[in-house]
Amino acid sequence: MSGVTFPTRKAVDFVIVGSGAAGGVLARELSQAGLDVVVLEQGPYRRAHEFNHDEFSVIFQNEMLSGVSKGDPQTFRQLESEIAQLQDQPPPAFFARMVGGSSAHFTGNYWRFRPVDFKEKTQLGGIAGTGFADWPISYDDLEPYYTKVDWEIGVSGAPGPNEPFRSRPYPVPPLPVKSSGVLLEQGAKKLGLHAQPAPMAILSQPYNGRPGCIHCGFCMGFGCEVNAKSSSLSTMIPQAEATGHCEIRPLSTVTRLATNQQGLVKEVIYRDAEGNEQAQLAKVVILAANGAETPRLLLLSESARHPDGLANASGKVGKYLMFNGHSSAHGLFEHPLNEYKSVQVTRIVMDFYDSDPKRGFYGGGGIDARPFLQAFPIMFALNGLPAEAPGWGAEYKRMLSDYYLRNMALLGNSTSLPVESNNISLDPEHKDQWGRAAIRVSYNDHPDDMAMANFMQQRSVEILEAAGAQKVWTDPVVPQNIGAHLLGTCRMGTDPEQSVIDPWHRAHDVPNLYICDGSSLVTSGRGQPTMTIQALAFRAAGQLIKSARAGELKSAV
Amino acid sequence: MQNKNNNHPDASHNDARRRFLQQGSSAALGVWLSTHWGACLASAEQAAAAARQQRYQFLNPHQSASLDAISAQLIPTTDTPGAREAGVVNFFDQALSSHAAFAVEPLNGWITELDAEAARLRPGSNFHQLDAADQQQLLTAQEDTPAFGLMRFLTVVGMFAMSHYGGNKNNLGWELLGFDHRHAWQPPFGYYDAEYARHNSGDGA
Repeated sequence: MSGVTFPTRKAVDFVIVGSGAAGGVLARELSQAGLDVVVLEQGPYRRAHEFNHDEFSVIFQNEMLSGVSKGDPQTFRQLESEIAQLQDQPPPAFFARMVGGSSAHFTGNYWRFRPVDFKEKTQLGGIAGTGFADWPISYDDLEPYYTKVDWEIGVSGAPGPNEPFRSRPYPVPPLPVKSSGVLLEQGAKKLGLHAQPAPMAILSQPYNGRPGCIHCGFCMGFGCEVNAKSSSLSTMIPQAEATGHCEIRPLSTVTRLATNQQGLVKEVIYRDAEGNEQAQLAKVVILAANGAETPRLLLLSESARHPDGLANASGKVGKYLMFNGHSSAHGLFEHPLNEYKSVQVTRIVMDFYDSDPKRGFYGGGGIDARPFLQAFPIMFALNGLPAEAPGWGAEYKRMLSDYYLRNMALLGNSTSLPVESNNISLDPEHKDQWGRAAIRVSYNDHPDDMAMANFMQQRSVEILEAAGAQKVWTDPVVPQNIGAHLLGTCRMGTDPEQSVIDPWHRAHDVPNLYICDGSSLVTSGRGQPTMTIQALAFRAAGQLIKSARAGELKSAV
Repeated sequence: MQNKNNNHPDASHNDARRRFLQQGSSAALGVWLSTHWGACLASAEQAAAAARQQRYQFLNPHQSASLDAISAQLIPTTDTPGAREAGVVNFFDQALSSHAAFAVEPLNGWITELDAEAARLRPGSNFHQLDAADQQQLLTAQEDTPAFGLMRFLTVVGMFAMSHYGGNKNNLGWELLGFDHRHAWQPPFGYYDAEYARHNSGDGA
């Protein structure tokens, strides 16, 4: 445990709910500035040496995830007219419930957003039936903080063609290219496309006292056993604790935020590890609990003064959920690729980033080469062969043996439009172990998102064929019912009627409540949001420190 | 496709099979083999028969014989070890009394159903007593049932999950795939990046 502890009945400078990509950055920045911080994290505090390669536990038993096994079920429905059903294999809001949050189990793809992502509505015009909007900030506003993420947490990479301005090079070079990356590069080149090294939040060499990657192959969905993955768990959290101004309080499940007569947040009510109710007094509260838990907590914090939930005068809390679009295509090659070794992604293609009216629909995306789930033995044996392959018997067994080392995937990662009927809300029936209403996910990909995902898949098939695949097959693009990217549910904006937070992450309705995580995003980017979430967190932290020093922060105390 | 590369799965499977035959499928079995000269010539099938006679913690003899027969059809013993040699029934023995307790009732019901089908086909026989062709015929007719899907799922998990779950004995499941479980690797990882490195002075880094 960390050295410092703070009493619950004395208002601490900041309570941060959530210790993930954003919460970790905020905790480190604020505590390094000498401000006292309590981080409430509902999951356990696990260290690198406690992680494992146990596919059955991690992928099939939700070892890291939320859901029924953690006493916290979730429900899913496609349309708001339906009754949501319990979904647990895995739960629809796919996030790691632990110190470090989803940064501890992520794959580490660290794409920056590009200038177009912030101003695309102005560029293309509105899209009927959606909440498609510009951000109130630009790429130039965020660029210094993207660079800060690169250097503070450690991002491996090298610039690619047609990339936007970056003020500093990457701190460490790209990870060594895998066979899948080579084949993507070769296929792309034949088609006149451009592959580039993938920016990854995994160290290619020692940096900031952490070791380089040892290429064990268990990043996606797993915790890194050597701290080479640049998660909040391995970077921001220990640095925050080292300041003596930050207490990480794991197994602390926040049930509501309590406000005073003036509408300011006064204390954060939570259940401790033993299930006892506690209340932490706070001057300022920051929600960084992810795009599903943050809106749930705001909706749970309704009161006479805030009948539709806290910070929800706009009615936009929980709305405009975006998962990003996804597609996959698979190729079988002559020689062994051994894709189960090393990180998932080493090369990407960004030629389809911009939306193109000639396609007939909105959207953009990037393609990456990786083993995907086919690296893991159980997943491969269950789903890794082409659909027409037998599912049991001697020929099935022969094909497993023949295909495992020789296959790879190209993933299309693409845009999601913000649609109000895609959202997080409170389930009216299911509750968690503390009586909190369960997370209810309503999600149905917009037709343009489906069209874009299909487009990306077609391009992926062409690249695999150009790379010389002996066989190419695809998984059908179907409406998604699981999202690991939980974006847009407390969107940023200048208009309090159309957004939940202002451009500095302060809730429009609650002067001492800040929200910074995936929920803050206005648009989805092209499929890899964490870099942007952390850049936003560094930017928000800088402003909070400035305001705190100037005595300008509002507080109930 | 013939490939002399040692990385090719067939090569490692042959190695695996050789090791299996030479060493037995567990330390205990190895000791047993070393003290029974005749058994040193045991085929994989004979070794598996010995394994089949083991007592299980949870499964009764009829359940274990049935699960053995079905899983050995799903991932059969061919020129390489299958579910039987990998101890998948041992996985079931652990799983059905713990994390997969939910599967006991549907699997028992399904075994009863398969036994009834078997008796119709070969009067007086249970499913596990049928020959391979008859077993395959009955299973083919069941392919789309939820029980078959559940059985397939658990058989695959037993074959390919870490061996502490009871199956994947001596990592035979992983060797079937060519998955070599280590905690550290160095580039080159595969054929194409090795070639790439040969043709480029660096990796572009």
